[in-house]
Amino acid sequence: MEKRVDSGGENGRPVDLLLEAFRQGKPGAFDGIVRAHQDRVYAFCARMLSDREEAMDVAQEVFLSAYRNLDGFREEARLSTWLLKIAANRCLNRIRQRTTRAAREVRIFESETQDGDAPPFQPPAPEEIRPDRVVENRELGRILAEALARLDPDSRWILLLSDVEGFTNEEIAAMAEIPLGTVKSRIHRARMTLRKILAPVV
Amino acid sequence: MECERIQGLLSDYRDGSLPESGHAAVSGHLRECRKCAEVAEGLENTLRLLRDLPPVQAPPELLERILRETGGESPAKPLWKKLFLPAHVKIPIEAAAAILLFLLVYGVQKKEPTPIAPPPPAPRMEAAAPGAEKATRPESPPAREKMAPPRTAAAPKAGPGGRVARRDDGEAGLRGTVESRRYEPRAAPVSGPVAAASSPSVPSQPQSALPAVPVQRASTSAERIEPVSPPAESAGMGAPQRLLAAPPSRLLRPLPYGREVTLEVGAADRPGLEERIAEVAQGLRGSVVREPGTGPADLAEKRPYPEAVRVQLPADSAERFLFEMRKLGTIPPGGVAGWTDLPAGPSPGTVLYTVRIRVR
Repeated sequence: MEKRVDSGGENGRPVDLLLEAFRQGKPGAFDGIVRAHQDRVYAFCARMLSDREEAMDVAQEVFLSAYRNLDGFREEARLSTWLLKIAANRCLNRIRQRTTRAAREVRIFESETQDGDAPPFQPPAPEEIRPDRVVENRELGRILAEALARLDPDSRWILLLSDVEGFTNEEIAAMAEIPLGTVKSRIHRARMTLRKILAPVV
Repeated sequence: MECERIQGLLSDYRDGSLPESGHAAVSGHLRECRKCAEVAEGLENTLRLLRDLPPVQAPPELLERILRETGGESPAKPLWKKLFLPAHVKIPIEAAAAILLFLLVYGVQKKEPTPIAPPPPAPRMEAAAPGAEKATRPESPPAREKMAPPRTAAAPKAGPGGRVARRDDGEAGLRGTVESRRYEPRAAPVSGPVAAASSPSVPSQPQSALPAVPVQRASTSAERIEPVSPPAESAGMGAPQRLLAAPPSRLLRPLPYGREVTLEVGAADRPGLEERIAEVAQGLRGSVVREPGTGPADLAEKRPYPEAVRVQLPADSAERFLFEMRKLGTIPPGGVAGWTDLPAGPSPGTVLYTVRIRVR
């Protein structure tokens, strides 16, 4: 079903056939683009926002924004990169707009760097969970999602792009429009924070 | 202090972005420092967890909502798809509608009272010499005789100079159908609707019932197609001149109707047979018209059906009429040719019989 061909490398990137078809006005092309990228965009939004309804809203906004601006997309990056960049910005805006939930956003990173207190996260039955079985363990997935939600949003989205979506540091630097060194330090701090949160289980 | 520095490098160490010396330094420290080694292991496990996050599938509503907004294709049927039925439904409906329409048109046309007078023959561009109009009566006896065999069979009769005959044959071939046999105009004016309806083909005897239709013939002998006025000599013949008018379309042409009976009589009973048939018909509240073209020249052709009487009857008298016919002569096997698929008469409740007279 997926006709996406944009999985090539940095140079000589294959042409995204669906994008070409969309620009040629072929019916069903945008349908195909959405089908090809919706899972990735939605998953990213869900992990960023920790809320499925909000994730769907934001994912919808991402694709509608893409629909309006695809003609201006110059293919300097992959379409998926472009979509995730839009998604990240939308998610960060959404997080900033969360007035009612802002208080619950635990600034783990800040508190941890300031006083080194143990995180309030206490996963259940840590002794039964081994790292080599995490893939099979849905409970651990939920724990990880909760741990991600406790990360600082600015670190969270960079960590997601780096260690979940597999983008390189250079790609993230281009997307976030920040220096490469900043990207590296943010990724490292986010990893270490997450490790600390998950320390009882890992 | 050293551990903090080493732990700050763990990401670069793991990613392989440290210079060789830095990589070796971290490796050496991790071998010696258990705490830092545990941190490094925890970091590695954390990254493994992130990599192995269970896949998340977008809910189907997402695509639906996006495509609804963009007006594109959607799993939920868009409005235009809801308005139009799928092919497996609409094609049978359309076929049924077409059949109903055909039946409706057929029924309406069938109900219309159709005149007895035959429709004009098929359009015919006369590529004939000026004398060719002699044979413009396709229902003349020679033509009628030759209409049974196909055109090729009649062709040998056309000699080198027989342009007239050849065209006659061709016309007979064209009209060699049951329909044409029953639509021959009648020369003898008779009373009743039959005579009134046959008047357009006899301009010299205008009837008040139907207006005379001006007709013209065209010649293509020259490069231009020009109307041809009928020659005076043909008007002098015993039979009335039949002029060819542009026929109505096939759909507008009245449907054929009528039945045919062959009546065989002995030579002794032949004289006055037409009058006896007429008496029977009139006795059954019908009207009769004698077939034209029964002059001596026609009789000399030894036609199988030299004469015919056309009778129009009330439908309920049809059986009685056949009964009376059997009294007058013999109806040979197959002598009653009823076109069951055709209307029996020009209007419901009437039957038109063409009684072919054959002398044993």
